[in-house]
Amino acid sequence: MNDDLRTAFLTYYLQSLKERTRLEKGIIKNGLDWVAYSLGIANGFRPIRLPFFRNSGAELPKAKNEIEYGIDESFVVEGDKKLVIFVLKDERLTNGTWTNNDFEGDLRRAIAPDLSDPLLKDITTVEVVLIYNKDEDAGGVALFDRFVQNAPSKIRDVITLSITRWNLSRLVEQVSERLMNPNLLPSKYFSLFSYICAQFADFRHGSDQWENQLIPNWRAFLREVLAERSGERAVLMLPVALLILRELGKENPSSETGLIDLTEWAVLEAWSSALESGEPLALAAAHRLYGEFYLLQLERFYRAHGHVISKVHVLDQGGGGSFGVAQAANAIKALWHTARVGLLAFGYFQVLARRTTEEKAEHAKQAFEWAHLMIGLLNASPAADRPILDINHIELFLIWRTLQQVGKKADAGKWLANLEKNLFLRRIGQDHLIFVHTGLNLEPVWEYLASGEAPPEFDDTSSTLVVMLMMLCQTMAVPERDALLMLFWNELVLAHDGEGRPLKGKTPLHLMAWQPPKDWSKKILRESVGQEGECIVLNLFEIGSEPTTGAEIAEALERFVREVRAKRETALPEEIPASLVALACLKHQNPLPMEFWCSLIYPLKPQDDNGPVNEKNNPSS
Amino acid sequence: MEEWKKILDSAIQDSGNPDKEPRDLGRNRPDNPKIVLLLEALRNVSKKELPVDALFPEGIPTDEQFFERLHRLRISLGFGQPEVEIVAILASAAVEKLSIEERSLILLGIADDSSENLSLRLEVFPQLVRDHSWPLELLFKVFLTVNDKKYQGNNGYDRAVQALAESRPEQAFDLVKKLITPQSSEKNLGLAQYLLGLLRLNDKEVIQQKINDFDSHLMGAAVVQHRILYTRSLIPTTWARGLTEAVMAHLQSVYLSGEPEEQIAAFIVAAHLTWCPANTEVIFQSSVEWLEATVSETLPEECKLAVIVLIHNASFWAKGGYLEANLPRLADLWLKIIPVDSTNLKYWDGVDLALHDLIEKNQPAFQTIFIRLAEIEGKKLIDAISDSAAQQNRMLLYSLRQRDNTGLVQDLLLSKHRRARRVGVFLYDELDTPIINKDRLDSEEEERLLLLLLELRLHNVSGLGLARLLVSLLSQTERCSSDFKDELLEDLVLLGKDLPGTVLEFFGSLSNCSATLKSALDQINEYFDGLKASDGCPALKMTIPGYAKASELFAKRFSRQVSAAVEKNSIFAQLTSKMILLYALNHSSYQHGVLTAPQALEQISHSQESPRIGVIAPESQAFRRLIAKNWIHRIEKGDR
Repeated sequence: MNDDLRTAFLTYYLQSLKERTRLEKGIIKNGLDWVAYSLGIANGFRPIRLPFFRNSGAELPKAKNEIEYGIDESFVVEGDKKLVIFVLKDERLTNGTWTNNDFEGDLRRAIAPDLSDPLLKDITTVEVVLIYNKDEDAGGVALFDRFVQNAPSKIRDVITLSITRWNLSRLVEQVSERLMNPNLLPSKYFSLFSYICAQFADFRHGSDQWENQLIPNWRAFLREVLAERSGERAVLMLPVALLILRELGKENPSSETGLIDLTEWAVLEAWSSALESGEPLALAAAHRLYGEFYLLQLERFYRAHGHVISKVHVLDQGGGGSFGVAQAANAIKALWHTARVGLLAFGYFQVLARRTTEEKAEHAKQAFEWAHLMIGLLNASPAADRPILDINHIELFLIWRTLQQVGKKADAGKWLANLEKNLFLRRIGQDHLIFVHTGLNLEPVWEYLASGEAPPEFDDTSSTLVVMLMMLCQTMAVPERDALLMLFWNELVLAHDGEGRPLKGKTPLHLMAWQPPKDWSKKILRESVGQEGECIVLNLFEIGSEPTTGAEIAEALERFVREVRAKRETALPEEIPASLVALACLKHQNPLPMEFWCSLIYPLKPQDDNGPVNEKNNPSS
Repeated sequence: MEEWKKILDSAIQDSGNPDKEPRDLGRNRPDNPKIVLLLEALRNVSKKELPVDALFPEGIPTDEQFFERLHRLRISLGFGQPEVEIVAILASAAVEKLSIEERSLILLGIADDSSENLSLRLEVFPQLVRDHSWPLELLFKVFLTVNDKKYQGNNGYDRAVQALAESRPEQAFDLVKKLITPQSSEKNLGLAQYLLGLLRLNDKEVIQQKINDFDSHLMGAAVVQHRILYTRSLIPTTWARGLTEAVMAHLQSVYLSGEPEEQIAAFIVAAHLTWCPANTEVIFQSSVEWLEATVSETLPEECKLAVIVLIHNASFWAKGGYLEANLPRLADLWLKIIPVDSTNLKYWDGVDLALHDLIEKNQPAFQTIFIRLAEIEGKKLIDAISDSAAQQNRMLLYSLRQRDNTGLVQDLLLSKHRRARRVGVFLYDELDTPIINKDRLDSEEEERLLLLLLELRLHNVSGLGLARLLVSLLSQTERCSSDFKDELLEDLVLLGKDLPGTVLEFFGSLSNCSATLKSALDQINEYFDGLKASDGCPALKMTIPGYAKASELFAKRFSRQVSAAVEKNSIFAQLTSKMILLYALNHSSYQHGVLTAPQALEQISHSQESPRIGVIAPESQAFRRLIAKNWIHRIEKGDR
């Protein structure tokens, strides 16, 4: 993440603030006054006057009902010799607002402060700062400059008076420079967020503490922020919180991937909340968080590190001495990266604006870049071809989609063939390789690999992953497809060796597919719906009539898809980007609805059959 | 009353009350005059005069009470041999008063090992055997039970066997016949052998007659005779030879005409009898001739094992003379029976021993058999001779390590037979064989070199050993095809990536001698440069939930396995007892009132480079092996 992204999202956030923090219809409206106060404190100022009573803990600062005389906040500094006065405005500085919104009136009152307070007896300088969190125009600036030129340079002939202004850019600059800490957020969240910051700086991304302590805290924080339905501002506060985390956790070596993880949770919560509220601005902010914050964050991350992790075996180096355990850990890590590259490629087309021809061309070019990075990762890391859990079908789908999206069918075919080969070797169980565990929990896998004995919870007898892979074969050229499908069927499904003999101790796989419940799209952003809907057990062929050609398998799969489409609702949600749904499934360990790939493989219109798979075939794009 | 009666009466009375601890009259032995007097008297008086009724006032019981009463009496008398004999004479007198059925119960009670006074039962056993006639079936049952329960070491049991042989030789011989069957256990054959020895059959004709009595149990009898021949102390050599001739002739006729089971047994015994210390060359030659005409690869497994045992024994005992001269002939017998395809550990134990003895006495014969065995039964041969097998199976490997076996290993490595190559790779690694001579490689076709290269992919060879072999193949790249060169380059690169420590150092020292090796080194260095560049990359810093715990668990398990293996295989660990010091890092000892000076503990450690690629890419390694296997298969079928 670089500075322009940071500036952009700080700008979005600060721009969204009203002048005062207040409670409105039971909803907290964060205000510019809190930011200005925090900036003052961050600059080492001693507050003299604040527009609110400071409260502790989760309580909201309470507004004062007193005459301000144009002075929103004042501080003393430099050994009580300088008085700094903040005049706050949540308006644009323009010719029209100069008088209509009392810029001039407030400034006039502010340059004549009451210095009778004994606390101010040593004051030698007064600095009045006009802070406004919106843009300005030339007229507004000219009026301000004239005001400054005509204002007295001294108070009581002995105290020097200066007047300056912090526009939005300067405010962002100040905040970026001095206030990237929990103080920037409303005081209500200070305690929890400070704790999260400490954990973020301390815990290694993906560690047990990370998963069991930080993530629950972070999700609780997200919900608390978003539960107040403060719409756009709450959503815009999330990237600011993430930026603060980034700032405070930069000493943590795993903070970059960790921040991606936290961002993903934030994106899902923000979208869920925005959809629930129905506020267009909140939805736009969520869209921006996903597209401009998350996806660009991913883009920058992989631009910076993609060339390193696509070097041979770089992703496979961990835990050399622990054999199977290390292999599984490397696989999960490699799949984490392939999934993010896949989401980037998937989301790029869907979310980021493509207004002009140049932009479209640029995006297409970048989609190729991500596909090349994906191929690089797959070539460099054997672990990327090692799904450990059945739910890893999501990562595999994202790999395939990335390649398919730019027409790299041959590469996709090679990848599928390689995957089949690897899975077959694991199906044999040779060299302590274990097959894909059907559960969502890694615990039985660890136990199996660490102890050498399969615990009762370990199960590798069913698969939706294999069903998906067989369907993905459909996009290959027919001869290759048929050959590969036969291998899938004989070696993985039936567990036969190359000579057609059953593998010792292995039984045929139970093929399955998951059909989501009707209301899944409303829930999926917030929680898993994997235990809802229905699990379809596929009996593609009658007992005793095993397929003899790949074409028979291809036909059987297509018949199955047609049957499902005819009898079940299969449409993907229109209001949520499909890539975001994929992210939600990934985060919640929810199986991906098979329409994700079926929509690309089995076009809804029969005449499109065998046509090229591209974006137009994808109803979710 | 006579003195002996008084003594006995006193002991009987003293031991008659079950609630009262009997006095030990013999506690002042060894030369207690009362006991000596009593025994002398009992030996001479009629059994009828013995006070059996006083001993058993309520009648003679036939259950464990009988022995319990005798046991108490013995406590009263004492624990020496004379006291035992006194009790045995009284027991025998008591038995005489019983009916046949009741006597049987007493005899059966002897074999009851649940009794607390088993020792006493066995001690009265000889007297009962000597004094009474017992049905053969009953004797067989009791002897078999007692024998099976490993009471042979008991003095009473041994004396019972002697008593039977001395007092009832005919019945003893009948018992031998019952004991000897082709299925007889070693223990029962041992008993039979013991009895036969005690019967002192020293007349050839009598023996011949006796053997003929065995009928269908002939082979068992011959086994016994064979054992006797080995332990010549029991039978004079002069008639042992005659006996062997007779037995051999009989065995051969049984082999030709008997039932399959008898045929097998006859062959086994014949093979055993072919050589033994008591034989003459004439017997040996005729036996070998018969075996040569008889053996084939279809011979039953047990018979093949007998041939191996014969070769083992003959090699072991050969010290010049006809035996040593005939070792190649015996080796030919072995060649004729390959393959054995046995899963019987005994067979492979025999193979290891036979090869070990053969290599000591006749290297060419050994080499011929070893290569043939490797070609036909490579994997089992490796199992039989490897250090990882049972401890006794290390003989051959030990012998091989004492010799220069470069030629043998090279022959095996470059063999056209896959199993032989496998044995070659095993021996290459185990024996730390030097690299293959260039001349030898020059003389081989490219296909043979490729087979070796592929074979090496299938097995775990030590890094440096493999590196040396691959480097030796570099000398062939100029004359071989680019395909071979590419394959060799791939293997060199993979090995360098797999074991970058010792292997890379070795490659580095030779990099100027070959462009292929230099190219491999360039690729390896590029690879490691890429890995180094990733140091500190934030994309790699994440971890996986549960991974740390699983690694810890794995490490513990691995450590336990290593410790167990070390303890099992370490001679040092076996010789010393294990003690864990509770505190401190210095130790001392206090013994015989002296405290030794404190000594610091010493740490011994061993580290070994662990292959990387198997962990990084297990699937591709497995696939590589699969491909190599298929390729070898294709080449062997002539379809490269």
